[in-house]
Amino acid sequence: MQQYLQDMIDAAPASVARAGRFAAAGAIGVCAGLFFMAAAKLVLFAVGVALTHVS
Amino acid sequence: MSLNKDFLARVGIAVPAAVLFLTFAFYSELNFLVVCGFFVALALREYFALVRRGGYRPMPVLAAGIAGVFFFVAYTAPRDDISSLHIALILCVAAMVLLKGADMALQPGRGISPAVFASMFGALYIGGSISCAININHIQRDIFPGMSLGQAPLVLLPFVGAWASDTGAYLSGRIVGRERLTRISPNKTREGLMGAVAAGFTATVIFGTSLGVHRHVLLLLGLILPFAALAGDLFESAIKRRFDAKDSGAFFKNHGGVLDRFDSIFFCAPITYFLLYYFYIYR
Repeated sequence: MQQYLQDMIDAAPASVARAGRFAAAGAIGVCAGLFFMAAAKLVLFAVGVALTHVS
Repeated sequence: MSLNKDFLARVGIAVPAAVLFLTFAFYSELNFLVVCGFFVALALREYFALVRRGGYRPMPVLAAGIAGVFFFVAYTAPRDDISSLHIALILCVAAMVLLKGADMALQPGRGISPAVFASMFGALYIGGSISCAININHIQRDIFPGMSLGQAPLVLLPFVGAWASDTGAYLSGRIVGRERLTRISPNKTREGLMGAVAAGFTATVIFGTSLGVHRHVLLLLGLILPFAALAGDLFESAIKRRFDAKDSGAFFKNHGGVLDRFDSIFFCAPITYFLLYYFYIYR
């Protein structure tokens, strides 16, 4: 996937490649944010369960 | 280490550690204070080790004392009047500016003032920032009446914003990063900044919405936190570069020290606290 993205970016004209890189970075960022959110909610669920048992 | 292994190693350490840590910390407000105190002690220890590399002789007792005052004020202040923390922070900054001024005017780089300045700076940078996290916990009972920290962990908002930004910056920088962002930290790229803004905004807004925080605050935080996280990261990089250190410590083994992992929090926690305070409590 990374190689495919790199090849596609390398083959494009400079300005288009730059725009593509930033768009890809934004998309990766949104996915990372969603992934991080899911992980945080999972952790919080586990903490909630643990706290219920502790108290 | 390849991207996948490195990333999985980060997640594999972070998730179990976070569950254990948060269960203890969210059990009571006092537990949270103890965890913060322990964290500040570790961070200050690393900071002093860095400062000593530069030939300074910091005063750990002074720094611990000032950080303790911040904590005491944050923990004991009435929830509807937390201005005492603001005053304490302002006094500390004013004292540092005066000391620096006196140092420059009288004996540049000599005498006792550089050591005092370095100690006060450490207390403000680390202790002052984390006391803001204690205050977020403190004002939460006014923002979400009747809900405990475990039910509505408002204090996690700056952590989620900062670490999502770091994750977004890391992933997008590694995959499509090309253009260097700054000389302070050569590995940071502009594409990474784009990824950080996207990730930080997404995570802050969704996480905050799930807690019930007002959307105006979340939009502001979502836009500000990624840049604050980057500033915190660059600031710590600048300190390390000043003292010729690659990592601040080895608390997390190959992943560096406490200061390396939490550098963005030192900027994000105060910003989140002051925004929440002025939106919910002050007006």
